[in-house]
Amino acid sequence: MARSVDAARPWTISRGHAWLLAAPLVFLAIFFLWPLARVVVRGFVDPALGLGNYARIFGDGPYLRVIWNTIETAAAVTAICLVVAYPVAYVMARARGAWLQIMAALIVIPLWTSVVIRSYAWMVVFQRRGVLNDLLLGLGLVDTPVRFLPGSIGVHVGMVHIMLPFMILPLVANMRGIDQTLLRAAEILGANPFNAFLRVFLPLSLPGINAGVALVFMTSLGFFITPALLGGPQHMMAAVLIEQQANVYLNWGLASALASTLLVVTLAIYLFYLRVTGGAAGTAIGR
Amino acid sequence: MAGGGILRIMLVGFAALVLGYLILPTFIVVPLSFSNQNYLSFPPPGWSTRWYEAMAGDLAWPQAAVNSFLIGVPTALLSVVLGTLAALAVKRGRLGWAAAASAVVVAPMLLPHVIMAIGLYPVMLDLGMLRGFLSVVVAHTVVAMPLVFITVCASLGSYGEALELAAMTCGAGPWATFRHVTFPMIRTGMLVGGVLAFATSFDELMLSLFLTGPGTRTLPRLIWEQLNMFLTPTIAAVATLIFAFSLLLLGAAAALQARGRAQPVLRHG
Repeated sequence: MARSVDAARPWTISRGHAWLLAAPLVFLAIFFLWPLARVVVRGFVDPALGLGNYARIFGDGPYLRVIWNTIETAAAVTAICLVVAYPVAYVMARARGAWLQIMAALIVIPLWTSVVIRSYAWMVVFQRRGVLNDLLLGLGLVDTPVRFLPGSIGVHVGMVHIMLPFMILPLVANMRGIDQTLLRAAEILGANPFNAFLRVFLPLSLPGINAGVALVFMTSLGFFITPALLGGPQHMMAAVLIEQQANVYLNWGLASALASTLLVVTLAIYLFYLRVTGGAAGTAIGR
Repeated sequence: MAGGGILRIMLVGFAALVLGYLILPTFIVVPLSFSNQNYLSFPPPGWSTRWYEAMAGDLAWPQAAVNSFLIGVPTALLSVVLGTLAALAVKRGRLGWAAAASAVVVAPMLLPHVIMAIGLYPVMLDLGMLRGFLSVVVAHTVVAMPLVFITVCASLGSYGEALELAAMTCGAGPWATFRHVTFPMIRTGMLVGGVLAFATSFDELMLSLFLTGPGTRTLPRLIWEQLNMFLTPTIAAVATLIFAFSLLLLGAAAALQARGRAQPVLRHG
């Protein structure tokens, strides 16, 4: 239908206005694509032409450990987020009126709180004289304050806290679109509630799961603030290492090679994300 | 069905716990800012406003706040212009490569900022823009523009092209059609996108870390530098003020959207 309408109006706003994209695309070409290209090239030419930087990264040194730790942490954070977010999204998808408003507010307010400030709050919780140690000492569970920082517990708790809304919201968006009569149909046909959930609801929520998982995993790979403040050298992640190599050691070649590695992994997940959201980039987060 | 009832209570209880965890940091930072102690003990043993006084006495904080606005406002304006143009082209342009174009426009929002930071640093150095306001504004626009693009795309998708076609059939040119038909329809999306773009810039650390200098230092960068040196409740006082301001922004965005169409207000962390 759109085609025939289009053919009938050769002069409309819809035709020949590709130049509207020119300004944003030129802007992105200069300040997004060109910088990325320079990072990739620099990884091969600085300080000397060749694969030297990549040999250092993948030569079983501390750098490879950081990359693995980054992938492991991102995977763990994604898994925790999915398990925690799914029941919350389920409740939220069925909530109505004021309850829905309250839940939405409690999810959106943290999203509007600075990431630096939220990581600072977790430092207050996990430090030696912090909230958690006070609680543990008060309950008599430990005799001396536990040293949580720097370490992986703080990193995981802090990262899950930041990523959780990005898992809950795509799930809710998906679950609200699931036809509840299908579940009733399954029960009428003899499925118990558990089976109806497992065989009907869960498969139907798969698009939401895919979008949330891709989004959270991709974002987690690039985390900087939380691991830098709460993880320390014991729990180093890629972005922290890259920033350190560039800003502190002025090792731009190695930093660029590390960034290119991170870029390849992230782009692969981005392509998966575009596929699961039907090519409409950002739809799952935008609405 | 009795088993279903228990399960339901457990589900709701679990959801309540998770929402408590989400809101917890706020309930720590705000009381801490009124502590009378110079260490971060919680709950504070006594109350005072000394950390707000300490903050007001340090000129670095108001300077950083001013810088954050001098960077955030132009970022929002530039993002609205570029993001709206991109959305119009993708949604109304009938391009064969619209999907590819929108993938490129959205990508900067989702890729790790550190990659763009180390790429933009030498580019800005070559252009002679490093450490100036313009370099940070440009960098923030790259990562904030997708939010405008997404909200305006949603606005454009909420009504049919038939309205624009009708205007043109009645003799309106492309510009008149945009001004009197398209613009009123997407105005809310542009405004909400602009607020989101400002908020993104206001909270951005990594690009600021590489591209700002002593004269252009933003609030997140100053908080970051202070956090790495000492952990006094001054930062909690700053954080409380920023939190109050963010709530205002969120309220503004929510009110704008309530006037337009319901759509959750998100921001990329």
